[in-house]
Amino acid sequence: MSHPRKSRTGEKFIETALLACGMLSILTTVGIIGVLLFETIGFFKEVSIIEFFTDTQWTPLFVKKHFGVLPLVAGTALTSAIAILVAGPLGILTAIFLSEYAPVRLRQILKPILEILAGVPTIVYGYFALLFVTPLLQKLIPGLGGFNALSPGIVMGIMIIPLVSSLSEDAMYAVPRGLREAAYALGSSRLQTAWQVVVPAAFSGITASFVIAISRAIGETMLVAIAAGQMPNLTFNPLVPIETMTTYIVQISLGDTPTGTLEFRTIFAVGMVLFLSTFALNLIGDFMRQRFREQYE
Amino acid sequence: MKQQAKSKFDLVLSVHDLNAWYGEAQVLSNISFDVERNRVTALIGPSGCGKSTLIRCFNRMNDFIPSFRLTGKILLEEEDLYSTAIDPVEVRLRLGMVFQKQNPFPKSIYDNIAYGPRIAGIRNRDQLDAIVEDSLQKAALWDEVKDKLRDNAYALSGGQQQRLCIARTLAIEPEVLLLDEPCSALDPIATAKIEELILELKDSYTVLIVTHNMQQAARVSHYTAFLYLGELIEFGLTDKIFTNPGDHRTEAYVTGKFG
Repeated sequence: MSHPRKSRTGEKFIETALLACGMLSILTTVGIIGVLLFETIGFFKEVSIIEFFTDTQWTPLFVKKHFGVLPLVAGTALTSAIAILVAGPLGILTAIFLSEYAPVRLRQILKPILEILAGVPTIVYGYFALLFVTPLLQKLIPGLGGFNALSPGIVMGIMIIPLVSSLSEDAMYAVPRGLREAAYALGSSRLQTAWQVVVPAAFSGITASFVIAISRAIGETMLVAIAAGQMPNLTFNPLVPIETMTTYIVQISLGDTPTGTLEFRTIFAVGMVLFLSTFALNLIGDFMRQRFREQYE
Repeated sequence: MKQQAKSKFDLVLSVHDLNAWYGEAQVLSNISFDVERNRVTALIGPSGCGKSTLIRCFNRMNDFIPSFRLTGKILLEEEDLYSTAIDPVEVRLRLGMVFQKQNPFPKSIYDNIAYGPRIAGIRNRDQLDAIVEDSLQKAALWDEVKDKLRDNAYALSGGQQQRLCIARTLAIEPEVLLLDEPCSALDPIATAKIEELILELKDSYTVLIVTHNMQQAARVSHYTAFLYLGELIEFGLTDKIFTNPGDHRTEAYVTGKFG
């Protein structure tokens, strides 16, 4: 009590420091959006927004320039779709196994191991796709090129399995025991209980895991940069080289395109599309979660 | 005495020298008694006496507990429920169970009732409609929910949810109804409704009910089994157990001296 002022100043200092920490991430986000917006507006002063969204070619570095973002969007959609086609079913099956079948001990060992998969640097996955999976696929699909969307798509799927399985498993594990008992007491097998009671009851958590996994796939850069070929190509054929939005941004950032030019500004416009698509995805995920949530009490 | 009973009445279930353990801890010791057809048999006793474990032995719900072990026999119509030749799923279809806490699925009222029949392979729409209506009628819930069969089951009150769970169990047409403290989470009015329902169901079903509430046992059951520390202390007509018990521990419990 003898130094009330001193201790209050200390409190104030800590409060301010904590607030500053919180503000830092908010300000960073605002700053990123600000830069993106500013540069994107600059870009659209020179290129019409209609051309951007309807032209089917993306050749900003060529003599005859085309600024159609669709090939890049298609490339991202294609690799992400392949990834989620791999990770969705495998992730859910893994989650069902861990939550409904595995003995407690096995679950405690397997879950952290699976989560390690998420910690492997993506460049390692990139070389895994290019040097292992692609040659393997070439044996199965004759004529498949060294760069294609399929191989990085599959490997990206493997990479995001832990995201799907871990979050889905948490959601399934949280389903009350009473619901499982009810299902068993009505003559369900383990599989029927898992599919018809536990999975529907955990639907909102499973949806969330999908949204996060897809966002991750859309934003993934290194893996596709290495194995997909960096060739803008408006196609949904997984056997040919493609380029995604993220890899295009890498290509320009690392190249010798001078800052401030129209060519350089393209990456901000593409970045904006990328930002808006993951943002939209999160909104959809939130909506799905609210809409299809199966509430137990 | 037992032989005589057997010839005179129709027995559905017969428990012989049942012993059960969780790991090293023995929870049931040398339990033997018979259950008559179309009668209500109550299992009473203080917390931890093994009555819930016992009722869960009948539909093999304890199979899911890794450390659980059992010796002895439970016969349903002369067939051993724990014989290796029998499928536990079939056991659960023949002995339907309603749990302590109402546990409807987070689905519509209709889908809750239709769950069991669908699992059993019934897909025909008219047939399912008929089963749903019939089961809800039997559980005295039809009039309250007939206009909102598509609503989520969680929109119902606690008592209605528990009657829904009973209806859901009736939909699989079990031979025996196992009720594990079905009213423990309900208020007195909802409890009275469930008791009324049990008395109606006894004409067509054999009912086993675990209860904490001795008035409830006295009101709804014909026979009462008193369990204490994993042993069956006394089994007999409910009237006799409550008015003229043969064991001092039974007397102490039913008169409320402990519990």
